[in-house]
Amino acid sequence: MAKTTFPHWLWNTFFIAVFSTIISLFCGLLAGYALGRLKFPMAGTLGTSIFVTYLVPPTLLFIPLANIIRTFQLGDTPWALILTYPTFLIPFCTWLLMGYFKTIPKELEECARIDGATRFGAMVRIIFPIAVPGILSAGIFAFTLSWNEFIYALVFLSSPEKKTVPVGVVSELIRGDIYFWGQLMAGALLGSIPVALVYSFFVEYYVTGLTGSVKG
Amino acid sequence: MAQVVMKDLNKKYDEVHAVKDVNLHVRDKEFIVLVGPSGCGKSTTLRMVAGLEEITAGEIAIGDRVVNDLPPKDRDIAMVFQNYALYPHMTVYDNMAFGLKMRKFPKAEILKRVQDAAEILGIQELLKRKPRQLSGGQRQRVAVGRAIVRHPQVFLFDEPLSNLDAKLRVQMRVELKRLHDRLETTAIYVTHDQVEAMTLGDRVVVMKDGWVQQVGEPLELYGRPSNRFVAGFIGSPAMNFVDVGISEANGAVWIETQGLRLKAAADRTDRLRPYKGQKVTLGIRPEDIRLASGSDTPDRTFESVVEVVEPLGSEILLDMKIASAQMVARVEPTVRVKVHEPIKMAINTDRLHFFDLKSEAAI
Ligand SMILES: Nc1ncnc2c1ncn2[C@@H]1O[C@H](COP(=O)(O)OP(=O)(O)O)[C@@H](O)[C@H]1O
Ligand SMILES: [Mg+2]
Repeated sequence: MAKTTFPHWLWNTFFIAVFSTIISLFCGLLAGYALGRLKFPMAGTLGTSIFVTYLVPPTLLFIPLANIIRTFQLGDTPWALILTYPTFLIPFCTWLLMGYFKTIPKELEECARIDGATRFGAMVRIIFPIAVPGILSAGIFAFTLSWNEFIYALVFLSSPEKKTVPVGVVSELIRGDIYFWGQLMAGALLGSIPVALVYSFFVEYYVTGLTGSVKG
Repeated sequence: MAQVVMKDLNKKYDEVHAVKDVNLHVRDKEFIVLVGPSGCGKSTTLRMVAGLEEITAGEIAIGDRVVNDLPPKDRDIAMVFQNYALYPHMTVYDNMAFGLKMRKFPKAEILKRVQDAAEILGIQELLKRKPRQLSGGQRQRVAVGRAIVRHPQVFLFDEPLSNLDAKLRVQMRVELKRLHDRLETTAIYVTHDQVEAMTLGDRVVVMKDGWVQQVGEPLELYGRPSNRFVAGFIGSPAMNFVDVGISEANGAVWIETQGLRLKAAADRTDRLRPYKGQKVTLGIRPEDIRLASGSDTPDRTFESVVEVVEPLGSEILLDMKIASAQMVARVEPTVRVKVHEPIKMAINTDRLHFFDLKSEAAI
């Protein structure tokens, strides 16, 4: 049985992780830019409160979220996860990118605006390209977080062939007190390979994203 | 090429009133320098001209257009920043071409303009490099090049030389001046360095605490400062200040304090007479103090003790103590004096400055 559904799990996990990462990265990029670069009242407070929402544990949220999922009849579909993962991924990406944007000298953007770009143009042509390491780090982190997510996936998905790898491996390969050790280990290993690949592929950017700013 | 007119310009941040009632008429093709101590509102003024800060009150016109509500890109200006603000992900060529690309210039025109600018600045070999592969001086040139390719109406400079070492700064200063002579574009230049201000500016604007203190040609500021702040700010070493009493005797006006009794020059007596019996601040430039010679009458000499001798090569600075004050004299490099021994000095009394004690305005 594991042999037949494991590829499904892998594909589900990948599909869900990619989509929720794209959504979160897009929102985080815009929100992070606004909080990090624009001057408006309460920007600091707003930034902190977004970070605080990231700290609210999923175990607290999954019951109200389950309600919402039921209302929209999304239960047992990948969209249940694609739309709930951003609840913790967006604050995470926003926070990380906000910090990164703050390290980019504001003169770069000002100079671009004098050079003929609009505020939006300067953001897209100057700030975002410089922030690529930060954006990649946020993306990798978001991807990993959704890849490994367990609670929401456990609660919102029920059909065996719709499950994600972390949930599938645990719920389908443990029957009562019987552990299918071989399959369990193989599943865990295979499930972690994509994440390892993503990491090693982007590791260079990833490190500069965490440590780094831009030197003019 | 255009004039820039600022009318009753004000800028208030939440707590700080950074720029106060600035009125300034920058003439066409003029190189004007805003100078003043850190935090006096120079950058804020410049950034309002650039459109990077909102104007709290007042008006700015570039050419014939009031630009208050125009975004930076529509003001036809170019700005050079202290940290150069080169786009790190673009080559030097792309950095310089960016403004032209944004304005949709044809490719051939962009190429020509960038090459012309690169030639003027001597950076043709650097066009393919990224900013991080350049030295400080080279980055500076690229930043200037990026400004000149656009042929803007006005150049804005915010302390562009402050990040360079002393020698390079002097060299770039001369180059900027030469460049301005060649391009004849109106320029507004901000610096806290009064030497830079004096050497570069056709006219210099001295600011303090958001107020304009005086606007004038460099030598005018030096020779006729309108208040004590300008007098002390312009010139290095700074002007000596001593509080003195004014009295009248034998048809002459006398300037007196402990250890110092000078006769005021004839052309100053009328202006000093109303202060009879009161105190004023006397200002003496270091070069107006010299060793006394036999021909110097007592009404222009004083006794002092030299405490420190600073031989600078082309001149010597003497830090002296007189009874009531500390003074610096700038004398010929051939002068030899002994430290800690009394010495008689003379003052060019026709070059003295006087300031009201309260208002600090020049008398
Ligand atoms: N964005 C800002 N928010 C609040 N105060 C500011 C801001 N920018 C400048 N100021 C204040 O305005 C005053 C003038 O600053 P500035 O124009 O940068 O001075 P400088 O003459 O050194 O260039 C300073 O007191 C500074 O603290
Ligand atoms: Mg400044």
